Order: sequence, then C-alpha cells, then structure tokens
Amino acid sequence: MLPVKRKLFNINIGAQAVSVLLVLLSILFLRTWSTLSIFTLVSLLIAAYHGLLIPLLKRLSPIVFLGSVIIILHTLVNPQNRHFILFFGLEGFNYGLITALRLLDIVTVTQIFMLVNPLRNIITALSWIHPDLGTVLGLVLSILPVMREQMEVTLNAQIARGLRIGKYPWQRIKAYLVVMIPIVIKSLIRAQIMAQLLHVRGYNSKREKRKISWNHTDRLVIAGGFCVLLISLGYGK
Amino acid sequence: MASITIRNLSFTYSGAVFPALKKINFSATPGQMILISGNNGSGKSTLMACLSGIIPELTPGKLEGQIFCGDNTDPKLLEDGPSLGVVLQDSDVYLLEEVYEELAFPLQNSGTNGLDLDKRIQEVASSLGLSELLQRRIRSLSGGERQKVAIGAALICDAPILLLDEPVEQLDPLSAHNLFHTLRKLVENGKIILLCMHNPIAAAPWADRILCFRNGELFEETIKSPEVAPSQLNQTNRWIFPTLLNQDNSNLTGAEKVEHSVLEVRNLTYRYDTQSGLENITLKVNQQEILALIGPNGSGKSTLVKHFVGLLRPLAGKVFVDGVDTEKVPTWELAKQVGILFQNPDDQIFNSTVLEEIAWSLFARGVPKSEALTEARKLAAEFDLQSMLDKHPHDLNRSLRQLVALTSVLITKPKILILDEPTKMMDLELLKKVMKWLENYRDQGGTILIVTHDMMLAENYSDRVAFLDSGRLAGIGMTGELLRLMKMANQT
Repeated sequence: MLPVKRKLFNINIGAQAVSVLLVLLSILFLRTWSTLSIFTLVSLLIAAYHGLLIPLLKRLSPIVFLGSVIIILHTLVNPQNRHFILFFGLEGFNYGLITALRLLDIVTVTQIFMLVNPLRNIITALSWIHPDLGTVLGLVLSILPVMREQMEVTLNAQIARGLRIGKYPWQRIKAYLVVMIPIVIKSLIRAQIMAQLLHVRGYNSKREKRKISWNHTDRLVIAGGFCVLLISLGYGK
Repeated sequence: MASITIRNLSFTYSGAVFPALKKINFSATPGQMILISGNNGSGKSTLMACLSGIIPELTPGKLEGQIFCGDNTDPKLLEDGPSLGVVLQDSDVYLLEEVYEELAFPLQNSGTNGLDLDKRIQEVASSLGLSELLQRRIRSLSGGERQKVAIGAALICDAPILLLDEPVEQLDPLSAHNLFHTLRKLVENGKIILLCMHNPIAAAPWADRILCFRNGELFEETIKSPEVAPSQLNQTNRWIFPTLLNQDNSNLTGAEKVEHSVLEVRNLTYRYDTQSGLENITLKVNQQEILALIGPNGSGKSTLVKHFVGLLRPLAGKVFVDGVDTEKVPTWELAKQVGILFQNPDDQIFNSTVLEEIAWSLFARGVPKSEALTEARKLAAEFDLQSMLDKHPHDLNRSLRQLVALTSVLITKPKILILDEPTKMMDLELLKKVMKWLENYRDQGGTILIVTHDMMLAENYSDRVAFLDSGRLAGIGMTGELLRLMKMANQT
C-alpha cells in the first residue's frame, strides 16, 4: 500500500468496498465511449488528487496494451463492420473502444481501492460478508503474482538450458510450450499443497465474522455509490 | 498432555502397487524430539501426512492400522487445528501474500484476534529473526526466509505436537542451529516434536531418538544419549557462520591465488526493488577448481550465480565468463559454456520421459534427435538411470528428479558448472556418487561453483570457499584455512 497524500476522511474499508462494488456495477451500464472516457478521466483525477497517479499508471499499462489489442482486433474482424475507412471497420472500432474503456475503468477503480488499502484490511473487511470470502480473495490474490513469478523462473531455467526464443510466431509458440507445461504442473502441485496447508493450519468456521458499525461518512460514501449507479442507469438508457 | 501411538500402520497410495508404509509401530511421549531419517521416497513424509490427517482427508489410498493420540484409546486420526503444528516438505508454497498475514492465518483459525494475535506474531517472528520481514511480500523473500515463515506458522499456535518435514533444508547453519535450540526448549516444556530429514547429521545431536526408514519400513531405532549436551552445542558446533565482515582476511591464502580464471566479477553491484542484493563484489573462479559459495540466507548467493548465466545483469561492475564480458552476450549463448542446476528441478522438467528430458538440452541446441537420445542413454548409464529412462520424471522421487535435471545439464558438456543448493533435494548416498563424478569432471578440466549451506559438502569437496554476507564478499580462501578461521571466530 502506498502512502496517500490526502486521507480518505477515515472511511471504513467496508463502506469503500460496497461503494466500489456499486461503481463497478455502474460501469456495466455505461454504453457510450464518451461517458466511459469521462469516467476514466474522473478516476484518474481522483487518483492524482490522492497522489496515486504514477503507481496507478504503472499498473494500468498492461491493460492499456490489452485494450489496444482489443480495439485493433474488433476494427479488423468484427462481423458487424459495415462502414470502412480503408480496411478499418467503424462499428468494430466503436465496439472495441467501448469494451477497452470499460475494462480500463473496472481495473482503474479496483486498483485505486487496492492502492489505498492494505490487502490485509480488505480481506478482513470482506469477512464481514462471510469469513470464507476474505480468505478466498486472499488466496486468489496471492496466487496471481506467484504464477507470474513462476513463468519468469521457468523461462529463465529453460533459457539457461539453451532455449532460444525465435522471432517467428511458431518458434515463440514452441518456446512457450516448454515454459507452460512446467507452470501448469507446478500450479497443480501448488494447489494440492495449498489445500494441505489450509488443512494443517486449521482452516475452519472459528474464523471471526467481522462486525462493522457504519458512521455518518460511511453511509454518505455508500449513498454516493448508489448515486453513481443510478446516474449510469439513467445514461445507459 | 498429548502423546502419539502408532500400531501396524500401513498405507498404499491410490493406484500404487507397493505400500508406502509397511506396518509401522512406534510411540512418542511428551518431552521427546524424534528424528526420522531415510532417503527420499522411504516413507517419512507419508508418515507425517498420516499423522497430520492429510491422509486420508486429502490424499486417497488404502490406510490400515491405528493412530492414537492423547489418553483417548479410541482409534482415530489426530484432529487438525491447534493440536498440531505442521511444516510441509515444500516450504516455498504459501497461502497469503504478506508474512504477517501468513503467520496470522493459523491464529485466526483458532479464534485468536486483536492484540493477542499481534503479540503472538511479534513473539514468534522475533524468535525466528522475522521481525523486520513482517510487512514483506513472501514472494520477495529468499528460500531460507520463506522456510522460516513456514516454521513460524507451525509454531504460532503453540500446539503440543509439532511435525516438521525437512525444516532446515533451506536454512543456513546459524539459522538451523537457532531453530534446533528453540525446538529443544519447546521439548523441555513438554512438546512432542517429530523431525523428518533426509540428511540427519545436523539434527542428530539435538534429538532424543532416531528412527530410520527404508522402503516404507522402520528398520532401526536408536535411543541415544547425546555425546554433547545441547547447552554445549554452541561451542562445539563448527558450522555456524560468524561475522567475518569486520575481520582482516588479507592473510588468507588463495584469495588472490588465481591461475586462469574462468568466471570473474569486478565491482559487481545489483539491487532488487527491496534494495537488497549485491554490493561491490570482486571474485574470480579458477579453471579446474571447485569453489563453494556459502553464506547466510538472503546473503546474495543465488543472485551472484545468476549473473554468470546472464539471467541477471549488473547495475554496476562487470561480469566475465572465460575472459569475455557478458554485458552483450545473450543467455542462450552463455549457456553453451555455463551449465546451471537450479534448486528446484520441477521448474524445468516438462518432457514425458526421463530420456527425453535428459536429451532436451541437446535438442534445444539443434542436435539431431537420434544423436541426442544416444548421448542421453550413455550419460544416464553413468548415473544408473538406465532403468528409469521410460518413466515420467514426475513419477520419480525428488532426489532422482534432481539427478535427471543435473544430467540434462551435464549432457551439453559445459566448461563451467554451477550447482545451486544440490543437497536440498539429493540424498546423501546419491550426492556422494554425484560429487565423485564431478571431481572427475574437475580433473578433466571442468570448473564447478557450488552454492550451499552444507558445510560438510564444502569442506569435503571444495578447493576454495567464498563467504557472502549481506550482499558483500566477506571472505575467500582455501577451504581448510577459511573454515578454521570461521571456527576460531565462532569460539571467541
């Protein structure tokens, strides 16, 4: 978690989480690229206000790349393309842009939430809903970077054995097969060992279900989330 | 107080032909530390799994016999939860992201929260040297540090019975010594501790009893009176790393005794995001020598050797392989001269047979398949792997998988061989065979760099020893001389 320059007015993490969920839901109802763009801009301004813009942009860079790929693919091959500039379909471009912006907005909102709050506190807050929910989230979030790290470790091991990743796609596919198989096997082994760890560390129903008491600010924040949802429903029609 | 009694325990894994455990009988009473030794695949971990309830809850198979716990005479398996603290064999697997969360998890499961939870975490972290790592992400820790976290999670609930499978596999000698010291105190307070280790030498002086497994059978039990009382072990244990950083090591011979260096780093500096790494290291490795690289957990040993194959590039300084600056040399090119055996063979094994796995390093270099397979068969015969060539590598035990990984590196006949913690997975018997082969390899012109915590390996096989501490080269010299210096420093 990074230090936030301006305090979030002591807002309870549970209230933040509920509000974030409502905002994420609202993103699904925004249907035009202009409203999604405005949403993105507002999110970035909020991040900048709290001194989180640079770390946020670093985390968003793979999503921007992915979004560009989505736009290009839809522009070229979307079956609903009817109007073209050269060989770029306008309908596909519009659809791709909306999809990419929606993905960017979802990731931006969740990343701001995670940058502001330590993971430990998020998991504790979610156990208000159900103790298992927090644990499941914690396990999932811990696995993702491990798989990324494992990819790097395995790739390094194979390169050190002489693997060359060529320039052509079929060479790259062949090279990544050499990497993916150990990763899949290790993931399966890891999942088995994690199950054993849950067992031997006594994972059970004694985990405390957290009680939350809402203050005035928390209620305002949640109300704000509902407002955003209602506005997006209104714009979505 | 809990006790353990096992009667005629047998277990056969689902789909297996032969039982992994054959009519095991033994008992353990409070205030005992029992060391269970045996080669990989002998049944030690299976026994631990039966005691912890993993078998049959999570692992199917045919379980026979009885396990009793406490004073209850009803035959039942031990309950999970706070009655047991367990360290599994693979301590690189963890549940949550941060050290603090990982240690908190078992306590939360036992209903402990709030200030009590925090207090207990601080206590256990302090005893294991983890206090400064509590807010760190576990994936950023070294192997030894992760192992300490796993041990902490087992100790944290103050369970009356502790089952520890290879608990010091990745620990440096000082950390291992401190751990045994802590465990000894717990035993004196009435706990039962079962330790499984394929190499029992370090733990033997601390144990009350030693059980030996072979092929699923308990074939020897020793109730020993330690020759040296545990309280005296601090003075007689020569395997503890002292701090050499502030000592004048200029009298050491061998530090600059370089004939023809094949590996060299000059003023090498490298830093991770956490700011730890390597600081201004200058080191040369001679042709036809075995150099052991030793040092505490997190001192930078693995980081250093990765520079020799180009997996890491220096922030400052230079790296030379056979006189060539590696700055612009791609890793696959360096791999022609430098073979590296990583700690975990599962990071690289992907072929469906042992034969193909061994031959793969030649396939990757464009050698025709038939030629590569022929070479693989020849080399496999030198390591007695002929009978396993058609097996899937993951059907072999850890020790043999490590041997397959080593063979797949040696098949390319690299001039320089780097072994990263070879004793972590290899049995003692197999390791002796491998080291004998490697000594011949050295005599025929090869150079070997071994990263290890195993001081006996360093003493018995290396020509020189280099000692890293906190990312800096704290000492380098002829093996006998440096180890003598370390012993003297330890006794002062």
